[in-house]
Amino acid sequence: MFDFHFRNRREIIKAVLATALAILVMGIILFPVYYMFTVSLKPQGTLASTSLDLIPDNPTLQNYKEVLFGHKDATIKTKTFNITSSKGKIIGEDYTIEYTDGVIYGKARINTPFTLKYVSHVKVEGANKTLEQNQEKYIKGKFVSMDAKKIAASQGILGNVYLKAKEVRITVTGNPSLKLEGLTKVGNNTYVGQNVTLKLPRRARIDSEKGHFEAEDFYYVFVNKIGGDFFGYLKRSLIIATLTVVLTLIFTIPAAYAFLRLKFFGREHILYFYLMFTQNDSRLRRANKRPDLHRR
Amino acid sequence: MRKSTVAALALILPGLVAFLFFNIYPIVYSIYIAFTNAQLGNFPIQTPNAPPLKFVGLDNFRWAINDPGFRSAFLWTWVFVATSVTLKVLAGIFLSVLYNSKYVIGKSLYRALLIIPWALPLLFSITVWRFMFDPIFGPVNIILRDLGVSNPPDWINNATYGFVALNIIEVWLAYPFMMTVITSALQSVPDILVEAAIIDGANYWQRLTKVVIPIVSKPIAFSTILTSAASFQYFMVPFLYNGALFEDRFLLLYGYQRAFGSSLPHYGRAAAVMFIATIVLAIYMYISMRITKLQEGAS
Repeated sequence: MFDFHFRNRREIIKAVLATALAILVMGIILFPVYYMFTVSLKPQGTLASTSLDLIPDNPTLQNYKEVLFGHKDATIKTKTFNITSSKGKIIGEDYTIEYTDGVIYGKARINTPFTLKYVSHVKVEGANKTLEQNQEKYIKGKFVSMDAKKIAASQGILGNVYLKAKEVRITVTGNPSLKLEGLTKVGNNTYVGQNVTLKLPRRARIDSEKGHFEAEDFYYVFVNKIGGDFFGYLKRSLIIATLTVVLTLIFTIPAAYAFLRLKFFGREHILYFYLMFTQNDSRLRRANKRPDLHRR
Repeated sequence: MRKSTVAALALILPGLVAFLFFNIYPIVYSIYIAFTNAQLGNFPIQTPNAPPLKFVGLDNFRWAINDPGFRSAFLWTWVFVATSVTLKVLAGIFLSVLYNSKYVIGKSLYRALLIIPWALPLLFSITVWRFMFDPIFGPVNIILRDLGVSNPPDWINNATYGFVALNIIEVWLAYPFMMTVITSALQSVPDILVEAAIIDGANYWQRLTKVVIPIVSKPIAFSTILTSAASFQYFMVPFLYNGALFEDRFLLLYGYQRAFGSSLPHYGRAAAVMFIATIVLAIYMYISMRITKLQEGAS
């Protein structure tokens, strides 16, 4: 492949220039393929960027994992709960709390729905598992625990709910229902505090990042499998490919044998008819079927 | 009948029946449809309020000739054939000459890599290019913006720029074929002829245009005819790129949209459009073969 036998300096310069041009042209032509590959390595949500990064910043195989295996989301309805999370937000009726390293716990007055995204390490005690398509169902059990990338109670929780956090930053409006003792006022409506425990009055909506969720005496737990049917598609494709090959062979092998080995009336005519329609005329016949003729 | 004839027929019949049913029958049937008023309501099942399915003679063809959409699609399809084939042939010659030059080190490696677009699934390639030409997030417009174009064109929703984009995509999809054919032809050009031209004092450009390309003109003509047929049948790319916008720019797409892309499908007219396209292409292929005399010699 690398056979240089250039006679003089001029030829070497020519070779360097020509090779550089060849590599540049190849780079431009293959750029779309390469760029698509880098896009596949980007974390979710960064695809829609308006700047060109040739080498992705945080390459991840997350997209491949998602396509191959999918992920699990959960919906839980319960009264007692305990959320441990490194970071999150609590939105009340007249206050917003941003906390770090916090635990939200307590007992809601009624069964409250929680939605958890990308759950793992699901552990359920005291309930029977029923499987329905892509859903695992547990009704009325003693205990449930799982990790999740996002934990939310978007309808809000009403009851005796507490937040115990290492750091909080609270923004209030008006005369808040929240008791603000032991907090430092830093702005007009902003308070901060460290190592505090707060009781959350009225309806509090929770939106927390990666964390751990536990509940006792839950009403139900639904774990849904999202996506990840790649191997199902692969299986169906393989079945279709195999069937096509087998069926084609079943129809063609006997005919091929007859054309080759047997002498009979009309042999040439039928063969010619086949050739007409499969060889010479194929380009026209394919007009309605395969526009990408040159790709054969 | 002789015994071997019976045996042969028994062996041939299953394949022949399958062939007739799956290949010939649909063709004949679609030609039949082209002469009927098949449309929503009477095809494939007759409903009470629709006009009954009947033979209408050449009505669909008359409609096609008078339809501005069909005329536009017909004209633009030939425009596309002219532009894309020119670009494809030029790109093919340029790439083959470049990657066949003795000065390029490691050319067989580059040639192997450049075949990649040929091996990719068409659907993937189109998705990639749709993303490349995305007006906001696409790399093409990002680069244009970086180069100082404050308001780069919308390659997907503007018909003119979209047409340019489709040309680029077609060249990208087809150059591996052109390059493979032309490269193998170039490699069969005897060195003696080139060396003789050097001795006669011909420069590089003269050697290329007066010696090498005339020798490989037959393979180039062959691949040009094949690739122009492919351009004429351009369907999948505009359909997936922006099917609604390019409806009256590509003949097959126009036919398809009459049948399956419209709220009032008229299958008879769609079949007529397809039938016209097939006949036109057949005539075009026949004339090109005759002009280039490809059938007479080995290509």
